[in-house]
Amino acid sequence: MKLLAKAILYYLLAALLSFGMGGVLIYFNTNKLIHKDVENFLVNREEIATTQIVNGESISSLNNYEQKVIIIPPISKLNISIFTDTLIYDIIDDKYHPYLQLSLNRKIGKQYYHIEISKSLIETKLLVREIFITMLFVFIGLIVLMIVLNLLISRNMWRPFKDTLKKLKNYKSGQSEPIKFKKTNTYEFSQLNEIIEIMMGKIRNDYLNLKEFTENASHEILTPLAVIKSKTDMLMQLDNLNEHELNFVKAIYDSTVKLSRLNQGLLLLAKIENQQYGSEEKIDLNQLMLNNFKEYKEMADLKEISIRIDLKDTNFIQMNANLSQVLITNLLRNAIKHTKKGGKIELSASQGILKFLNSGDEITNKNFKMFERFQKQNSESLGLGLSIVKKICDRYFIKINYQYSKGLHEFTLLLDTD
Amino acid sequence: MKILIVEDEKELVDDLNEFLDDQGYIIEVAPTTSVAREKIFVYQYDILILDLGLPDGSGLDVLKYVKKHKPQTGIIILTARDSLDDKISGLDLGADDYMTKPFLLSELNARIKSIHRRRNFDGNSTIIFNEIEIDTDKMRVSINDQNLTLTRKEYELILYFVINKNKVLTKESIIEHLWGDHSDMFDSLDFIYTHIKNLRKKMQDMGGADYLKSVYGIGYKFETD
Repeated sequence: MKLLAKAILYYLLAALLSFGMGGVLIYFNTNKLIHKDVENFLVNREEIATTQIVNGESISSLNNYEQKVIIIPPISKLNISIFTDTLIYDIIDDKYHPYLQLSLNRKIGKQYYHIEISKSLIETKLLVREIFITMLFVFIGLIVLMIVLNLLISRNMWRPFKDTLKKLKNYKSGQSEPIKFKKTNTYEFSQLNEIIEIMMGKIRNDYLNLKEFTENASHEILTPLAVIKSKTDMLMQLDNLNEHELNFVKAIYDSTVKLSRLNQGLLLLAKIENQQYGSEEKIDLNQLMLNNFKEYKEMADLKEISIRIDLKDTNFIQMNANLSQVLITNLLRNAIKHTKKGGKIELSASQGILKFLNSGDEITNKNFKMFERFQKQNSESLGLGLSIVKKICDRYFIKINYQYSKGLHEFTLLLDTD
Repeated sequence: MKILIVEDEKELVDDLNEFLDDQGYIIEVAPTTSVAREKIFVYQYDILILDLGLPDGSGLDVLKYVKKHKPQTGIIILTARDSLDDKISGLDLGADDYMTKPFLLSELNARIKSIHRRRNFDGNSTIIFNEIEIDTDKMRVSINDQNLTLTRKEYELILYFVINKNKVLTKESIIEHLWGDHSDMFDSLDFIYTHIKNLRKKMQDMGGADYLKSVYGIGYKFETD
């Protein structure tokens, strides 16, 4: 949920609550006030009636629709004025209407009178309704105003924050420019930007250091490796070595070869992780597969592997040319490497899907993590090939799946086709 | 043939020196870019073996300098830096070949010979050793003036052996030379034996001597004595 939507929702809830409560309060207060007013009116009318009786006007002339005066027998106790709510039938409307009625007994001269005066409350009800409707309009108007204002103010106020977010989203750790935000006079945002700038500066420095380190390390490691390799090479050329000694030299030589491959692989992984392969172009993966296949065909032939290729739809992808090469060759190499003599390999391509199948025994180790570095089936392998494949796939949002069925290892690349 | 080695790692220079000296080249060494520039300015070299990471700058600057002043010099870039950018800029600037450390001396030797042949168009592109004659232009091998019918790999194999005669060549180095760096793809490197056997047979059929010797199962040697 967006911050703005959330804020508006809370505002709305609070407004609803306060307006609701206010509404109830106003309703009761108005009611009470009007009631009081009607009561005063009735008391007033009663006084007029009493005065008229005192002045000797005939009782019949005093009786009308809303006023009733009757002579009653003497009573010991004069009751005090009582107000009652009552319903009186209205002939015109054919309806009962609410009335407030004042009834009391009074002794004027020697006569006892019972006086009943009533007043319709229909106007009161109408008034309350009017007030309610007006309030409703005001309420709705206020809420609409509030939302619009909020939207406008927020859009403006949060702009620096959105800018910051956008910049952070587009930031690549490999980019040469340090991150720089627009100036803002909102204290919180300028604080945030400042902190992020400092933090990113640190990260950038670390990244540059790491990059430099990887390059330096590779240089520093490969040079002594080159020395070892050339020394062992020269040792091997000596005429007076016996087989035993030569095998020692060979062991050193083999390890050096392996170490340099390992170094190259790790370096490549680090470079992919550091996103050092920037430039991208449109790559025809099927064509790439075919081209590379030609190169590896000879090796497959040497292992007497039968190969079937079925490329239907073309698959283009925007990626770094070098990495696409590494991706395809690593998968091809993996297939050839793990296929036994006389086995088979199948390569296929359809819309958005590339498949590499090769025959071989099932991997029995349940904990075997195919795509993690240094996971290997035999000690000869480095265990880097497929982790490099995975890294490249992750980088370009290609899904890679592995499954084993009917004696075939199957690697599937699913391209993000949109 | 004169070769200038521009490299700061002393051990490596010593090995290169010894190995290339053995091949009959005249070797000079420059440990820094400034020394390299001086030497290039004064002397004439056929081939420059150039390390990119030098203490006082990048070998790419030396490369530019050579291309400007002595464009006829062949250049092999030799570097620990397995960086694609360097490789591309190196080749763009006109280097003839590129080798990443660690490399094999026999491989370097093959590439030096190859550049040398390419650079001397008017010179002799034929390598003659006893009864064997290799025409590198036509990629043809003959023994006792009789043509050998060789596969591409067999041709490359015999060329590699003749260039590196009397050197032990490991199976890995042979595979690396013929197929690129793919020796890790094979459970066993013994398939090399088939190629050697075929080559040996074809040569002997034409009356050639048996020069190819197996060395304790680690590799092969083209033995001349």
